[in-house]
Amino acid sequence: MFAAWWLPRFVLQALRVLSRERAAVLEAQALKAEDARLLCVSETAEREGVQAGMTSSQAQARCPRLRLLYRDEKAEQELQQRLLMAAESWTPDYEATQPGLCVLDLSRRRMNEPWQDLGMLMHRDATALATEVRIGLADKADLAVLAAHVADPVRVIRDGKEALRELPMTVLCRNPELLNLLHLWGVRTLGQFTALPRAEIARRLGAEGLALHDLARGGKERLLRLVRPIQLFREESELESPIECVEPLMHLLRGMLGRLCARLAEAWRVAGRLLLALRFDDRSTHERDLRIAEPTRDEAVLGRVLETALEGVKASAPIVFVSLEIVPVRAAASQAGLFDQGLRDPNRFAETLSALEALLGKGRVGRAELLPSRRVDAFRVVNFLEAPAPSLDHTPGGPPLQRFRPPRPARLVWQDWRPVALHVDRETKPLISASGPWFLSGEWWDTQQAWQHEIWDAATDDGALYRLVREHEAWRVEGRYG
Amino acid sequence: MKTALFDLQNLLRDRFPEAMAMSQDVRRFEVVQPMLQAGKMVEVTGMDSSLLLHRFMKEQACALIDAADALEPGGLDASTLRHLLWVRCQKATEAIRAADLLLRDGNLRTVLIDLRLRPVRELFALPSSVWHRLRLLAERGGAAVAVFSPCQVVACAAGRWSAPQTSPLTLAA
Repeated sequence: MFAAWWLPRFVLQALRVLSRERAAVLEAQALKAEDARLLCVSETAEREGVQAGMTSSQAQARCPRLRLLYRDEKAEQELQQRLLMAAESWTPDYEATQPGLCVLDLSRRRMNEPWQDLGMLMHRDATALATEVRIGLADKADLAVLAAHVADPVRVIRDGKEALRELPMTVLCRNPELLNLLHLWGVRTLGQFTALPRAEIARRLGAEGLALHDLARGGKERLLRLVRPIQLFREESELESPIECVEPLMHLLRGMLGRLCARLAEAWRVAGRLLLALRFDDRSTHERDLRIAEPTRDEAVLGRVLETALEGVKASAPIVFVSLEIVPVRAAASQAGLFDQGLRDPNRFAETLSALEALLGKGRVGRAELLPSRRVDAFRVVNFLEAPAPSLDHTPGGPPLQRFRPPRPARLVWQDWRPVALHVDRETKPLISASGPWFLSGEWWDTQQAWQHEIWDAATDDGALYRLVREHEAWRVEGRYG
Repeated sequence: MKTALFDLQNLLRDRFPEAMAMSQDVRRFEVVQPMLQAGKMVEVTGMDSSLLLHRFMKEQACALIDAADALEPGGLDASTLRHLLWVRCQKATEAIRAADLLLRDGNLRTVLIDLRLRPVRELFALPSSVWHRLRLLAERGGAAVAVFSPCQVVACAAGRWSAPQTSPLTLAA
């Protein structure tokens, strides 16, 4: 058995407009206000000749006192949420069919009362959330929806064919063009519509016509698209006794992991990411987003990931709040990165990368990605486990260069406009040859970022070849070729 | 004393036959193409070995432990950049610890350690046991390890090649 709850003129009800008011809601804003069309019209306005689809100027011509309103999507979402919460109080199996309409599956409910009485109970319960609610009950979901459209305020349909025969087509179809066409054919009720040959309906009206034909005959047995709440895998703890060391923090986190992994197992999910947030007594925070190389719900593996991530963390105040959230993924869709397939143990590798980062610092371990710039050291280091971004069109050329980071300040001795000696770090090297200058510049459009380099390649008497660069009148040794 | 030294030399010759043989005749890789060997640690000495380093970096599942943060990413092609794990260190000790972590991890098939721009005295200050430890880890994990150094520092290398020696500017210790 199914029950359909319908809020007629849902958009107006979200704006808390009573049916006795003369009001209408406009569609999305048009270039000219008078060209905006009506989306929804109140019952009183309809009696005065205003219909949905009219322009606002046409509507106001028919009803001068018509109040024009714009949609409030936030209010519509809140009303829909209240509708679904009210439905959930009757059964956990319900479908959010469309805004203002939900269908409840009451097959698991023990029916102690007649359907009509049950409908009245539901109506009394539902009127708390909206001014007008109509309840339809039937043994098929689509039939219950049709019943709700003709309910006043409750309608029970047991014998679909007989009950639907006299219902008007407006119950079934809201498309004004299609309704006009059916009126021209002389079809005004569902009984007249179902009497038409099905093949001819398909030929003239297409798939939409066939769907209406099925609905007009009481609909088909279909499964509801049940609403299931989004499950959040998160635990947090406000600490009465602040934590100062890693061991008690890990003990707390392992407890959280255990409970979250149990919930993951119930939901047939695995952990794709861990979101850790710590708040300290001095109000500073530390947040980490840890990607699990090979998603799993193994507590030991996830615990090691957390332990490695906390290795390099230092704080000047104790921890007063801990939050751990797991972002679940389906176990079947666990491999994302191309490189993941080449690793024997991706989770262990992720731990190793975290340990390296804790040892060397952020940005010191990963994959180098070139940036679209000619500037020196135009690259960034990205997480090695992330899929590589599309590479720039880049062809390396010239001899390999070992860069000095940072570059070494230098002083050149010149003779006949060519460098003949290099002073760097209290060391002097005679230059046996030098090539240059070459000039390189970039970002001239930005006064802060603009740069200009004068470049020389110079060979010392011991056979080493260096790159020398001048910027802002200062020379430096940028690297060594070889 | 002489007997103990002779016994020690025989022991080293038995454990590291290739290294002991090559110590008499250091091969130059202009003549012999150096190769990486799975489960073994080799050493390439000399400053002008970047071409060989770049060739080794083309190996899949490869990490470069850059002891002086000297790599020029613009000098590598796109496919090498995509699969190369770059570990940027500031000291030789950091490079050794990073190598230890990666070799224990066992996921990467090739680990390259570039020590060329570190001061020689910093490298000689490293105890020789660190190289033995890394060699054992490479054997257990099956990774190929190549150490690029300014001069010979890895006593237990299974193979050693040398590039032309120059007296370069190096970083301060």
